[in-house]
Amino acid sequence: MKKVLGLVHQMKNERLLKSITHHRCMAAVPFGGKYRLVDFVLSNMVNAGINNIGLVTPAGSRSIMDHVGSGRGWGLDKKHGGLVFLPSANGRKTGRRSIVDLRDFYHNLDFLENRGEEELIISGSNVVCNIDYQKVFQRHLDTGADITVVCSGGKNEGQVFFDVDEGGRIRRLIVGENKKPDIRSVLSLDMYLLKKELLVDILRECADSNKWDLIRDVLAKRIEDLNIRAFFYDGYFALINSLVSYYRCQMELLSPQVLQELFFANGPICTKWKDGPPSKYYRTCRVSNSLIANGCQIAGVVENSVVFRKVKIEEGAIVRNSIIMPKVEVQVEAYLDGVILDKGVAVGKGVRLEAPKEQPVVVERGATYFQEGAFI
Amino acid sequence: MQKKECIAMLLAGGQGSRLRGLTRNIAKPAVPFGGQYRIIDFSLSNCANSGIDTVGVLTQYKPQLLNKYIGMGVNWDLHGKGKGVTVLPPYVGDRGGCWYQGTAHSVYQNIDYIDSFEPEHVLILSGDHIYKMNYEEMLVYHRSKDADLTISVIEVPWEEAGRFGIMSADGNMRITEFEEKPRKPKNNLASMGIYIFKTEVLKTYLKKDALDSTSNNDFGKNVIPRMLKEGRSIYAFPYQGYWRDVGTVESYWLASMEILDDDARLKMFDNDWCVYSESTSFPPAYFAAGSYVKNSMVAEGCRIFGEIENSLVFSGVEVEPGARVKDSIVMANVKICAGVVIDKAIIGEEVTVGEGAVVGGEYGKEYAKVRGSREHNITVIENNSDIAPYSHIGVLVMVKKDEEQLSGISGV
Repeated sequence: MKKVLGLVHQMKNERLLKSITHHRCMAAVPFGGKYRLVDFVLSNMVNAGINNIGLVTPAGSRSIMDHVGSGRGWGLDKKHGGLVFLPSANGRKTGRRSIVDLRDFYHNLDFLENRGEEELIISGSNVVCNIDYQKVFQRHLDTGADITVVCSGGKNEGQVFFDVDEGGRIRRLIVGENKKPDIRSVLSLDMYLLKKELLVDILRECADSNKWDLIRDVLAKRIEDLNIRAFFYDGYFALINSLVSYYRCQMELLSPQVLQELFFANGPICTKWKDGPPSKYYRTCRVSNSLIANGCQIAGVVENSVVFRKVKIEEGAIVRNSIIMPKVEVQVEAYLDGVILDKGVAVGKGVRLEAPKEQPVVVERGATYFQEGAFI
Repeated sequence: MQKKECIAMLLAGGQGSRLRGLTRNIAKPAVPFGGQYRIIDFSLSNCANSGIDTVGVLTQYKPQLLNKYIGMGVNWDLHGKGKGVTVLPPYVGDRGGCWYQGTAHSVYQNIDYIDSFEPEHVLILSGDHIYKMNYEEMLVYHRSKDADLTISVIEVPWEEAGRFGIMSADGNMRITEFEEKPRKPKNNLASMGIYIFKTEVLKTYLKKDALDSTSNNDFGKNVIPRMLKEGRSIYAFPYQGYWRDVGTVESYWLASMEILDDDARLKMFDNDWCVYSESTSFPPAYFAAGSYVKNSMVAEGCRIFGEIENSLVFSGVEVEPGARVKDSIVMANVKICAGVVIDKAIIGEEVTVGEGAVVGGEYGKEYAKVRGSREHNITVIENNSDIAPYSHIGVLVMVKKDEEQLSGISGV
């Protein structure tokens, strides 16, 4: 797939995951015990042999730049090509928010024009899946589509849906709010294949009309004149677009089938290289139905939870139905249920943090709770 | 090129035959250790953490995996312009070439490499010890004594002293006597195989040694005794930290089990002196409901449905329901099928242990009785073996993949 250039666009909604996205863009949101959301799209591209990738980077995104760095974790630290940060256009925040903001690509038009690749894959960074892009690309070539959009009939939580005719052509586009408009509609996975030439034309038209949303301003309006087709992906995926989906999708990883499909069945999902010993499980620990990354010291009880690197859970502490980000410390006899603890949170001796079922509560980065007592 | 104060030469050519099947296809420094690492990671991480940024690694015995693993030293952040790790295998020049004849000869063969950095001092290391040590402190000591050679030493139990290079020193720590593996040790100060030489002195004595046709070309046996005889100033640098030679199956197993102690002397969770290694692309470890884990270290990529106790489990290991692993070391990508019992064993990489098989435990002990040896009650399964379902194994086993019958040797 040397002829294909990968482009990763960014959702710019810093309120989507409450305090988790206050200081991170979506791409840099921690996920699944050791990853960031961007790892999935980068790994999928690299696994398909795409070695040149442009990553849109919003202003103030130290976390994503620090995470991706030179691209070494994905083998993208190349002399020629590799990973390139595309600074986001500083659009005014007035008016409607674009679903796929083409201004960011127009802002980097010279990069696109100078690249030798003729074909493009554009993907969002909030889709968790392990997809074989070579298959998608082959279908895209075989059908002769102008634009191929990856879709799934599986879940129905998302923003953009399509009605597809029997020949696989997209006939109607529905922008909804997290609900499936029609039983036959399929959900967009926010991945688009098209020729670079076509994107450049589209960008020029956008500049003329000053309308920049790939979904509402381009696809919706040109559904008749462009041959826009759906590729049906039937593997596991998760679209992270709310705190509830963020929490629930990580709980889904606790199914051995999902784990197998997402991490073992196809190519590897890579991330930034980190060092640290394997996790230590003490005599007093009890671990059940949980994912635990390296570098943890577990002496307490962990149930139905996802635990990131370098977490310490002391003796007598109980962690249930929770997501524990790196370097969190849970002291003796603390009790956690249904919470998402951001990086470096410290929970003192005997403290209880509980959230209602299926309504996870986020504890902000670096917060400390040392007084005994209930929370929520 | 910028002149260096000190570069390191890491001796990694050893076979390590006392590690039995663990070194059948790889050099000893490449043997996995500690649930995540290879033995050489400890020396290379020490270099990185001590500010030694140039390391020549001398390889010879089955070096493929080791060479690939070391690469440019990226895993230890040792790569960069004008520094980095260089793998130095035996080579052929215009006057022919030969294998490395001994530790001293291997460094002698690479004097040109050393000269290219013009270092004032050369640190000689071996790639088969488990320890965390600041070589910079040793270098400061070496300079303060204005020594021709400084040898790092550690006190070992008297009964084990015969396994090491043993030395005697005066009150000033100047070495007065050095004996390699003495039959009747006069002291228990053992050489850790870590030397800092003044570069000029090292070159002089390597050349002398190369011209001596009766020499074994070994630092401990030949070079150091010669320097001592000729009155060179050799000092001992006493080291008090944790240090283990893991040259035998038993010492390997014991050092592994020591890591699991709650008050282990080797601090694996110490962020200030991290041990670096290759990063794997596995998801976090998964523990199913009904699994059981106690006093163990389990790396990423494992999927645990069974029971693990007092064990080190490397990445990508699957333990099926009803399987039990106890007092053992399970290397990367091993599959342990349902109902298997593994007790006091070392399972090599990529092994499949078939359903209901029993490895080690009672069978290992039976074998030890017959052989009258303590060491043999640790069962070693070589890399890439397939253990047939319901077989009972308590000895060193070499099984090529796809070989069928194994049950026959139960309890040998």
